[in-house]
Amino acid sequence: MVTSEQLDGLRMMSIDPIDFVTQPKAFALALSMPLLSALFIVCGLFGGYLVGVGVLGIDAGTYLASLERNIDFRNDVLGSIVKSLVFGALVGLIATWRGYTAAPNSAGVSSATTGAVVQASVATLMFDYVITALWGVGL
Amino acid sequence: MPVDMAHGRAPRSEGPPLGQSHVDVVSVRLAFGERRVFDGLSCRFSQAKVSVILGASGVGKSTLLRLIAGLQRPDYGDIWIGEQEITRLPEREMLKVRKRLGMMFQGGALLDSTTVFDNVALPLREHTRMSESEVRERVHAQFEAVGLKRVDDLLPGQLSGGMKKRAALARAMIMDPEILLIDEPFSGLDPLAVRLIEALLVEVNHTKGLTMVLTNHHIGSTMRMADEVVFLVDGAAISGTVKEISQSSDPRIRRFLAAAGSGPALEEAS
Repeated sequence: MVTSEQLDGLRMMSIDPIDFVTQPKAFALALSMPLLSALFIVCGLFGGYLVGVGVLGIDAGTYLASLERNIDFRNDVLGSIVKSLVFGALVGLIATWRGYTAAPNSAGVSSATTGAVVQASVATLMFDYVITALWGVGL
Repeated sequence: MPVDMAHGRAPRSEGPPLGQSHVDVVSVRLAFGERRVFDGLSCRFSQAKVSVILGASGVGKSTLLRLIAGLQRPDYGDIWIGEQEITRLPEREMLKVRKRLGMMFQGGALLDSTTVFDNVALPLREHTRMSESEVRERVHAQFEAVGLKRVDDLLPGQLSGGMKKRAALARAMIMDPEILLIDEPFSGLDPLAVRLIEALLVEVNHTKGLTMVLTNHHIGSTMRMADEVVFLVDGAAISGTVKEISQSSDPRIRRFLAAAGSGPALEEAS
């Protein structure tokens, strides 16, 4: 959008691109990340069921009872939701910020894309560590 | 013109209103890194006239338009839109000023993920309380004014170059701006499309009385429609009517016009 002057086009229509483009995208990502996280957790559990019950021959009731016994709501469910919310917000903000400030040429776009991936990955790892550490001390 | 270096701003000794002037650029300096684009550029654009910014590639024609639109801030100097100085306005304030401006970008700058209709309707939906039927009526009237038909559901990527320019013009004019900034309206168009867009712009200027500022390097074409010419060279501006510019003894202008093969033809064209 920067290279094709679409953001400048919005400014010339007296529309703030941050309100119109950046914020909704970052907000959407922050919201969709917990949903995606939940979806993949369910896929993981179902995959475990297929392998355990279907391939290894474990009793289905035993598998589900074991699942229920070993999943802790606070640490596993709530923790994953909080983390995915934070990661989604981080990735959304970093990606839109890098896109918004990209140089208006193809080199600028590729640099912004690479930068966004690297910065989002590093930020995710760092925040994962911080949240896990704080979660561990009961925050 | 005296320059108040201590306060980083150029005094506008003439002060608004400057005759029929609508846009005033006063002692503007701008550099991108080591490259100095403008070094004390001063020029003015008259109300309800068609002004053409001429100059070689890379001389800063589009940058001057972006300065007037507030999309680019100068390092030094003032830019007046009517009675308002805009160079030090915060972006939120600048958004309000831009309601008086319309800009047609060289590539159209249409939002590529929405239809042509939604592109043109967007300012109305954002800034007015019009009902959807009123919006539809207004947009279709604008389409008719620029000669576009059956494009409502098309995406900008499905339009030809000329149609894209027309759609961009429709969007730029939909809020009835006082000043229309047009960046290279004829680039990438065949001669027939150039004539059509040219006639369209002249008609818009005559019927709506807009102040129109164009950049261009198609000399013959723009000189037919220009009331005033601002020739950019060496970071400064030389202004005049078509006749004055075409008869200029300045070797830089003569060289440019000669290279374009337009010297005496300018007067004929105008």
